[in-house]
Amino acid sequence: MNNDQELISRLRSPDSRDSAFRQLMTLYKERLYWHIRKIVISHDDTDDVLQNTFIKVYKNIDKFKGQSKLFSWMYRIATNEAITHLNKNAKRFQISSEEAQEQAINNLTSDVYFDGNEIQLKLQQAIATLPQKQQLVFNMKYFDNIKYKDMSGILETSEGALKASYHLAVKKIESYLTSD
Amino acid sequence: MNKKFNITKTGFKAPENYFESVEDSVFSKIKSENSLKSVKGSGYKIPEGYLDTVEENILNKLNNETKVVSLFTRKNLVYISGMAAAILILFAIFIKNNNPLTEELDYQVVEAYILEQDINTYELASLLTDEELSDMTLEIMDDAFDEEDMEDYLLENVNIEDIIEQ
Repeated sequence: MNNDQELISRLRSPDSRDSAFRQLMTLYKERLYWHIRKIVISHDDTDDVLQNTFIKVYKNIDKFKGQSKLFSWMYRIATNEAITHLNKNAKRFQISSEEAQEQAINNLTSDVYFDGNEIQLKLQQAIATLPQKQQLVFNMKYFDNIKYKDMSGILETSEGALKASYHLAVKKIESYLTSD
Repeated sequence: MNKKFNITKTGFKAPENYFESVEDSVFSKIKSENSLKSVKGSGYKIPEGYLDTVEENILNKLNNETKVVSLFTRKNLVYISGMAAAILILFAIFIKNNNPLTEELDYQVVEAYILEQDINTYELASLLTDEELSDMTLEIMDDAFDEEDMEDYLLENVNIEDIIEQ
């Protein structure tokens, strides 16, 4: 939190804003990248969303009240930007966002930036069958090890609901992986 | 750490050296957005006081313009009925001219036709019905014929023997 406070005050000051912002990006770019990547699947889309996320953070730093952690706030922006991007893409091709995501997963086998094995691919396919929020919960818990407390701030959902959602997601994925 | 599916990584990977360029890419994007914002106006200018008078000008134009007229005005109806009448008249004339049977055919024309075509009295009689024949009266009998003219005609044109024999 102390680190947070210092960074926030430097971000709010016009003189130190740019250097503070660069520091912020260096700190969080990888975590945000992988979080976004799990939602939009392709690297190029992730790159777009990541940049948009940081630009939004830069423009809105004065609106950050400090009620949550800086990272939670950025994570939330990244999540919203990623889902918006998914929906926009889907609309462009006149398909649902679920279909868009399914297509993106199916393209993974020919994706240069995917070197997963058969099981890893199947897991991605299983995750894509879950409702959007459940996918977020599963990814954030399973791959990112985010605490339910922090997840609650990011997804603005109670910890209890998140725990239930995660367990349900695991069951569905198990069922999918053992079905073929 | 509970890795239920024995998978710890997603399989996704980023391009080599990608993360090194993130900060610079973001800054250049912010700068280009800012430079666009800093361009004040398009460079176009409008005449002084133009915007003050534009509403009045438009309202004046609207008032002076002929309004949208309905197709069915009195004037249009007069024109249309006039045209319709002319067409009907033309039609009537055309049809009338095509009809060879008119009641009032000039008798002199008919007389000339009969004489020219050398139609004899028997042919003419065959065209008439019995009723018409009996109704027919020789109107010319009462006047016109002079006895002397009759006598001359008979002497010249008729063989007396033919009549006696009949």
